[in-house]
Amino acid sequence: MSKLIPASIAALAVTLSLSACGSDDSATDSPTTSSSASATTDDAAKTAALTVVDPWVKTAKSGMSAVFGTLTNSGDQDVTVTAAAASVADMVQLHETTQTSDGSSSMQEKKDGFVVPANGTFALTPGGNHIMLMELSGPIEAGDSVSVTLKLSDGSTIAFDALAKDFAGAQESYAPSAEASESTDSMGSMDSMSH
Amino acid sequence: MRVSRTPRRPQTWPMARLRLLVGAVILAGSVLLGTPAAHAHSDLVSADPAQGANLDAAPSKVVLTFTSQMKAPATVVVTAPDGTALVSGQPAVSGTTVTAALTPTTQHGTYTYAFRAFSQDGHQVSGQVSFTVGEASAASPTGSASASPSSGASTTATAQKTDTASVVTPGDGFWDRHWWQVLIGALLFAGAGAFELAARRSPR
Amino acid sequence: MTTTPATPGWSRRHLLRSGATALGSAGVGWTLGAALAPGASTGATPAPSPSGSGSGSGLGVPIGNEIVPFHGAHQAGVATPPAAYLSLLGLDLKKGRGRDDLARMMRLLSDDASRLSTGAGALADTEAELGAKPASLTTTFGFGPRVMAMTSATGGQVEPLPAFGTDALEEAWGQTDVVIQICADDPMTLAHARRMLLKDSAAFTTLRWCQDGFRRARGIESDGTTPRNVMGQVDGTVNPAETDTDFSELIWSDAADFAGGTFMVVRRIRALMTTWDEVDRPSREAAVGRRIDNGAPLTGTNEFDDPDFKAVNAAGLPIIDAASHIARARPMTTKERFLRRPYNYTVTDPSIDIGEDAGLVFIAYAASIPEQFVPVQRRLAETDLLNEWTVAIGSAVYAVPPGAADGEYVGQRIFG
Repeated sequence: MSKLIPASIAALAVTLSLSACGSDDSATDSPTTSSSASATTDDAAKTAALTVVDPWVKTAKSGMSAVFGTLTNSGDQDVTVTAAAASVADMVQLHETTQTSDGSSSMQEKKDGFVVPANGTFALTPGGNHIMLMELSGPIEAGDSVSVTLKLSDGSTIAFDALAKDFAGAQESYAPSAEASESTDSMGSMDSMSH
Repeated sequence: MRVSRTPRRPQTWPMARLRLLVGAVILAGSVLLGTPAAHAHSDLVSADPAQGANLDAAPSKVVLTFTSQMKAPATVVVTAPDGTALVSGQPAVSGTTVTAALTPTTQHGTYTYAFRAFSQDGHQVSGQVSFTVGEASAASPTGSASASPSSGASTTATAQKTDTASVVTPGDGFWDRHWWQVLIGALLFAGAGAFELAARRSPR
Repeated sequence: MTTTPATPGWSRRHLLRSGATALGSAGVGWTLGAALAPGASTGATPAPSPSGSGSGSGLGVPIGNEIVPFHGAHQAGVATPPAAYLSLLGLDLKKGRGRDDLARMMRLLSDDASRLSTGAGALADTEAELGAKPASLTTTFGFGPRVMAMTSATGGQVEPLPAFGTDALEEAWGQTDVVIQICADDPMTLAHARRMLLKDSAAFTTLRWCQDGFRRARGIESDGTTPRNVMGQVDGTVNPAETDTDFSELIWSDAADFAGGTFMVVRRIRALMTTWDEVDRPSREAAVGRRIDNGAPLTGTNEFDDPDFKAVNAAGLPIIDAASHIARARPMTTKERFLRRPYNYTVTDPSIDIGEDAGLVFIAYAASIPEQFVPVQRRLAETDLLNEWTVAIGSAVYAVPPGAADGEYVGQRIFG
């Protein structure tokens, strides 16, 4: 018990200093797009450390799209993003892209989430890891601002806005996950991803 | 007939060479004369009043005629004997003529006028003329209009050959530009001719 | 005559004959050379180029790394020093697109321009490396009368120019809804920026024309050297400078809803080089009113000498002809001044006898086009000796909104 108080004070001090650093970083990194991370829980140590730099999303008429950017962790503990949500999509998954046996790349859900290392980054890029938006409720048009929320392993969330851009690339084939998913219908068409 | 081993008979060699020389002269001459001179050249054909003219009364206008079509605007500056400017209004430009109306005056003495005009294709020509009214002038009267080159673009270093407003047959001032080239060419051919003649006269 | 055995060595006759041949050949050669030599009447020697190695950049910053900030009270690319290369894009809104579309488009394009100006890739930039050298890249956005009429920015409304008798305007080079002026000191940086902006505007607009232009490459001459146009003239000597006390008033709008913006005139002026070729130097100089070798007015010695339009020569003729270009273009009131920022263009075209179409992408900025630019253009259309060799084949006007603050996009206040 006697150890808890100094530990809590130390944690609080670290939290306050980190939150100050975290908000500064997000402001300078993205001058024109709003990509600042905002903490929504008391346990601000991990959430304040995580920002999304240069986020953007592919335009799509319907079906599916993807969100890209750089998850940046300025803290000294790893942060794990376990899920994501967006108002524009009924289903959102974290995806990785792997090489298939025939040499083409295919994407699939990354069930254990994105681990952003301490003082490091995790890139979401076309052809690599990304946040998959599925079952779009409406078109995503060029210049739109799409709100996305990340859920972290500690239960906290981070919200950011992604600018929608026309993009010809990122046309991978989709590999269904090994487990049966609750929403098998949600695999949807790939039309939105191809031009 | 015995076939001669010598390639040519000696008598025809001098003739062939002479023909060659004459042919070269003709060829060179036609190339030179046939070369199209630069376009955009306009020269003064006549100025009225003419250079050195002596009139009984001041003219009501000055008329300049050029070798090609001119375009507006043109500038004409006429100075009375007492130094006042006499041109009223913009000179009229029509075809190959530029006409400037003068304000009436009764002054006797030496008048001068200067002009700058442009041909349709933008070539500048300028000049200066003087004439007298009422008394015999010191300037020598000539039957044809001539003018000294003016320094229209005074600070330009290049010679204003094209500004010379002398009477000229339509030939675009060819001789002005090419006289020295023709002279050298002629000297070369003359020299060649002299050498040829000397060769013929030479005993061996 | 009997054949005589050839005498060994050179006989006198042979010698003289050789001399004759030599002189005769020389005569032919000389004549041919004189006849075929070009420009026998142009006697001018090329002027020595102005001294200055043209290191250009400031202390230690390599030219490629120089950055012109995108954000600020005014859009960059107006008062900022003109970079070496230009790409001017004229775009038309696709059918049915309105203010909301313009807002979204400008958010994208401003974001691209902002990132590219620092040498960073744009979002979704597939060749970010091509933009790694910002090379003073500037991107300037303007909107035509039709677009401005969609907004409620009264201070930003702009009217088309009146017709001028000397014009031969083509719709292909005409008024568009949007203009994007991209300038950079490096052609690769420029090409990359242009590609990114075209990609992101494609959802909203179609490209009507692209006018590419050039000046001296950075570093060839000292920064600030007055450029020359394709006709060889020093062009741009008299031009408002940011250091002038009335620069702000002349260039920037002070309207409540458009403060910091400006207005842009774009005219594509073809140089009629075939007939310009026929004119000698004195006539060229008479048409302009300035010397070609150093740009000095004909009444002066140095480029920046004030022209004396009243000066006459010994014969009484005005030294600078009243119909010359500088005599006609000069401001008759202090208002008749504007910022000229033109670029030369050359488009090779095998169908033209001289193989190319060349001229000027004339760009000018003013706080009020009707008060500042139109009176001058009217005067030139009426009379200008230079009209013989120039013809405007394209014309357009644009409102150039104020600069965007950090986090904003250009036009946010008028489209948002």
